Amino acid sequence: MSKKKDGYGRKMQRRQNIVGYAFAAPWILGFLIFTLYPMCSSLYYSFTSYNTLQPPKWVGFRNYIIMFTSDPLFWKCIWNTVYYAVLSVPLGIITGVLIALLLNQNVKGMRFFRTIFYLPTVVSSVAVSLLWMWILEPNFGLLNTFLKKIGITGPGWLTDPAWSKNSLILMSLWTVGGGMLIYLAALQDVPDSLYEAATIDGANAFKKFFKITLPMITPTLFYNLITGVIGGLQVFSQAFIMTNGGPSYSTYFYGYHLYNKAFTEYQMGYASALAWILLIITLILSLVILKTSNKWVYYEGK
Amino acid sequence: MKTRKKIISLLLAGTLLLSTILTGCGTDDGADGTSGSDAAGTTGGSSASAEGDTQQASSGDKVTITYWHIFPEGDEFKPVHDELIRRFNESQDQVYVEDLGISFFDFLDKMNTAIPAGTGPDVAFYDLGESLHRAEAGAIVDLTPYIERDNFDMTQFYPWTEEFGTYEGHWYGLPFAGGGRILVYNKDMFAEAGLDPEQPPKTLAELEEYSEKLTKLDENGEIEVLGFHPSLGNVSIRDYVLNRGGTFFDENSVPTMDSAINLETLKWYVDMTNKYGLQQVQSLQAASSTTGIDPFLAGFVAMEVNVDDFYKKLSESDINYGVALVPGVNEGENATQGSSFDLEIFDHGDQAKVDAAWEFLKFMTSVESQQYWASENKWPSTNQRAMESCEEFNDDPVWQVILESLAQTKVIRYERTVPNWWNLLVAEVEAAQAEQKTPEQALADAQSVVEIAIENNKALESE
Repeated sequence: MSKKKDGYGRKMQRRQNIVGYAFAAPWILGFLIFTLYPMCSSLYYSFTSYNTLQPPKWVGFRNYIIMFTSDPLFWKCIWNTVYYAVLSVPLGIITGVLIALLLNQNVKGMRFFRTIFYLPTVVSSVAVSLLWMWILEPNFGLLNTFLKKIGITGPGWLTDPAWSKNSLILMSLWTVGGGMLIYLAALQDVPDSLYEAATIDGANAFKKFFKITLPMITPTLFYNLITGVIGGLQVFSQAFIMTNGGPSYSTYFYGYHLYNKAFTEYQMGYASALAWILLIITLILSLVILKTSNKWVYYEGK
Repeated sequence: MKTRKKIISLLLAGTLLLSTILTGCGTDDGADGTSGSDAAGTTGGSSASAEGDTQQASSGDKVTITYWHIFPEGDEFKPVHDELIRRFNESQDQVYVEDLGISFFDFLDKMNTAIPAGTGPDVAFYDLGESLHRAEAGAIVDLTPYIERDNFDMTQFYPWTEEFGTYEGHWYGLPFAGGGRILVYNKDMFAEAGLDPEQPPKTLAELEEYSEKLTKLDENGEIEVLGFHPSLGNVSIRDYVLNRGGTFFDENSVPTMDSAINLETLKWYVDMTNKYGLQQVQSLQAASSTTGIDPFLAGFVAMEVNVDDFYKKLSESDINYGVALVPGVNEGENATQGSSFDLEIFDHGDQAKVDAAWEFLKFMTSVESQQYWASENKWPSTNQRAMESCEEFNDDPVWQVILESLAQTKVIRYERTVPNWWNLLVAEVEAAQAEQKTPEQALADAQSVVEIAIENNKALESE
């Protein structure tokens, strides 16, 4: 009897499994065909010399060796990318939290302001880039016109190698709305009881922010830090549209180098190798952030 | 490049905005769709259909070939191009061409994915200089056997097309439109500055002298009109190097980036760039690249070097313009860099289609077709015979200058060991312009990065 029951149970189980896989199939297929397969082939291509017109030729580790020993642009683009990520990610987080704090106040028309601050995130990066080209235009751009009014001669934001990277970082702050929204949600999850208790104990606003608010939103900060670092390392479209990687390679980022190798020089093998090194760098950085996270990320209820 | 990207991004941005509004609005792409049956009745009088059809028109059906080009719907050059295709189809009872216009900015990407996948067209509108890359890879059909079979006269094209458009002595594409460069100048500004509007500068010294007279500063000392700037317009240091007889590679493909002529040119280039302060000029450049308006057409500069086919834009502008040959160190040295588009054939395993494609190529590049193209589109042909026998050009002073510029054009061959050398060099030139490096240092660095790139590429090729 029990045996029969077990058999029935197993059958039921199997049927449920099939249904489960069937529902997951679109994703699984998509993953296999559009993610796993391209990833594996790019790993293979990274060990070949492949110009798309002729069949790939196995070259072993030569792409990787050239990359680290004799590609001057490789180190240049690493430096540019690190500079961009190191400045834009923390700045983005700080700005995002600050705006979220402002938008967490009970002021009239708050929904309107939240929408306004979130809006730039919805606009495609191409449109944003074009818009900022006009803002940063040195003669009649909004920014320099404003600076001129207060007696400052603004620089050639995108045409001066000393400013170009900073200009792109400045511009990246425009789209902090996405992060802001997540902080806002986190801020609203902070229990009022904590603030009440702190108020009774006589804590001021700063104390409350640093002792309650900040620790309570660390899981969100952590999430945004990781996604920010990954996104920062992949920066591409702004430079592609606004500066062409220039002037004199000052905005030539890792993604740009990869793009150039693949689609202007047709060195698909080398470009694949670049992609894998970027993946490894990203993995290492994510691991470092993960490892250090237990020192500063606070999970409630743990 | 910059304008190209800007246009891409403009398009993308535009699409983004419009896609929500315009969903459902179909575009009419039937302009070239002269139907097959319509063309079937007419017999062709053109040379293309008259000679050497080797393919058997299978059971009376026409051979249909596909043709991709860079003139999509709305392109200003499309109507003339469409008309040529229509004329070919009308003249044919064996071949029918189905064409597809792809925006120039998407064209390369589309071709780059279609060719390896084998889904590309039978004929493509491409770049003659780069045909060497595809020829070497065996991606396109060697046209030399057809040229020999039909005694097709390649001397009708400018000799320089052969110089940079053949791979191991073989043709892989037939030259289509192209051109060199000319100096355009604003006659009203000349008159205002007390210069004779009919006497454009003939030497670089004169160019400099005129430039100073033409430059106008406002009361704050900021540039209102710039006389001349060597990198505004459509021109690069390549043109000035070729003009002085310099090269970037010797005949054995050894880089000569830091040659004496190149150094002399770069020094002049940096001098001219920085005459009025780099920042002023950078801001002018930024203005023109942000707005997408050519600085000459916008009235920012009094003289600029631009491509021959700028003629169409000039003729549509309300500027009182004149054109002249690009001045050199000495009078009469007017060479600039020439380039040419071409038509190439891709073999998808169907010989009948390849043969049909060849007939189409012959028709499109013929004197008659090319004259029609050039005169209607104001875009020069690289068919010398077409250009020099077109009576319409005789009374047109602009065409006369363009013809002269075409005769003096020089070319730069595709360098298979380091196809991207120009990107490497231009970064160093920019560094010199920004005075981050001396011209000597910049060229020495350019030489070494190009050498390294050649070594790397060779290392990847060797077994």
